[in-house]
Amino acid sequence: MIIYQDEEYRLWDAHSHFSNLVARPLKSFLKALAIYEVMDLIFANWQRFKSISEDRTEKNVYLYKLILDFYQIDKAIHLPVFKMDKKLTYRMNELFPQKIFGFGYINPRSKKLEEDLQDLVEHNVYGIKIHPDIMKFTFKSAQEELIKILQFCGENKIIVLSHTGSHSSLKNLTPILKKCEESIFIMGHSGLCPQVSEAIEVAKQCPNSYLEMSGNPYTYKFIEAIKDPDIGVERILFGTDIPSLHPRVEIQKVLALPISAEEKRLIFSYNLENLMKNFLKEKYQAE
Amino acid sequence: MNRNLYLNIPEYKIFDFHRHMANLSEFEQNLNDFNIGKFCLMPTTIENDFENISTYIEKVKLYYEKYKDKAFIFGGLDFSNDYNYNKELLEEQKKSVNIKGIKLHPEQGFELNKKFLTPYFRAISEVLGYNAPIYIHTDWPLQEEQRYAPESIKNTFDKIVSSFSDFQFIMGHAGGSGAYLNVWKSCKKFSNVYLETSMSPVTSPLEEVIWKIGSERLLFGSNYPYCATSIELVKLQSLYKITDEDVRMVLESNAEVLFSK
Repeated sequence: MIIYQDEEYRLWDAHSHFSNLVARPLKSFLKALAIYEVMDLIFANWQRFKSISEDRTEKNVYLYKLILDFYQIDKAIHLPVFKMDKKLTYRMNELFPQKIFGFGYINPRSKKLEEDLQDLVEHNVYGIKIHPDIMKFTFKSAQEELIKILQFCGENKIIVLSHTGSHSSLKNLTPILKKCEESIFIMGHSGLCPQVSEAIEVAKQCPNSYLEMSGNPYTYKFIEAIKDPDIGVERILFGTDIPSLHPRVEIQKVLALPISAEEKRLIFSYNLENLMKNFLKEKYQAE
Repeated sequence: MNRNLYLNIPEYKIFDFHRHMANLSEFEQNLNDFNIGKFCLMPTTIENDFENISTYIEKVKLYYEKYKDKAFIFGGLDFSNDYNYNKELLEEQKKSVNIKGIKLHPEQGFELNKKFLTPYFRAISEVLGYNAPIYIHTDWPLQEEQRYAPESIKNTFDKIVSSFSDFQFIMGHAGGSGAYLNVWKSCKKFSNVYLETSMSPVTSPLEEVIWKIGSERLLFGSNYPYCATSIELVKLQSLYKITDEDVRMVLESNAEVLFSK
């Protein structure tokens, strides 16, 4: 929760990460994935959290929660970075079901796709994250698998979030979403700079899609989306992309929009809350 | 400087290295709101400015006349025409609005090789001299044949800089949304490279430039009206383990020093 110009805003983050890769020896590698402020926060608390739990996964859940608290984030969707982070995300749901919505991991290229999808149901996850670069697919090359995944997720009330902006053309996303109208698809980063116009076009044509703001600097494009009668402020979601991006900058992206405090509240939290309540229905428990 | 969560407008005048034309009254309001004293005005692909540079110059004249002491106008080249045409084009731009630098945008479709670019850089040197900054937008268009992977700085920006070492170069958007990691390496390799900060999504690479090279290589840009000036300011004010003096150099004085060369 933040207070800005006498207005209170709950922060519900639709895009954040943590990984079991976090370990002292990997600090140099993590530089590519995490901002220095967050890395210092993690490693300054390393010993203290070691005493909380000897279990690395559990310790990482607490470290991730520490980051959320540090930046005043009330609730957050956690997106696994690598397959190994499935365990982490499931543990988050067990330990902090009121604060963290741990999403599952699905690779459209997996040879055990059926099995992986069933695993999501068994763990009762709220959503999944897919990433064209890390998982080596495009919306064109994996169209068949993506339709299968989205239809499964629609039937089982699982939200799908994908990295967008690079490594795949968003022009190929629209036909997939049109075939899976029961599913919910969040465009992480809203196409970044190179594909922001394409992301807005997808949002216009597919009412089951959402624009998530992290990493995208084009304020004028979000204003365009908010004013567009086919999109509107209700389909824009606040995200930080913790630990890669600076939450203060991402928070300012919403505060800078020329909209009312009530509309900012929608982006900061209520849109995500409404999406979860309306789509997930009885599965949603974070009251 | 107050390191609060939110925006802090500095008391000193900001030099905004990257702005575009907008509704004039809103433009003026933005200058006042953020205490911007001087600014560079650049052509943009969003308004198709590069398709007809003469039309852009006609439009920008209004700003040049209104903000004579504040505005540093950047011009452009026409890569569909030859050296002679571009030399004349540059002379026209210098005469009309006293352009101080040139902006190149990858969507202009220029070839990334020395042979192709040499006549254009020769024209720049003859009309504006070698000290006129060359601003290059980074975030090359994504290509299907490369699976929409972002182009590296090494294969794009650095390639141009290494071919024309007598000029001063600005890496627009500090690598952009796809090639922002390790941009300090370009600063280390080339002493004539500066980074402009607007739209750069991640704070750590900017911190690394200051830690490893020095704050004098960063230039604050707002990319107004397409980006929010407050976001770009908060980004600078959120940099980690950076002194207030370093932030002040980036916001206020580095651009002045660059143009005084």
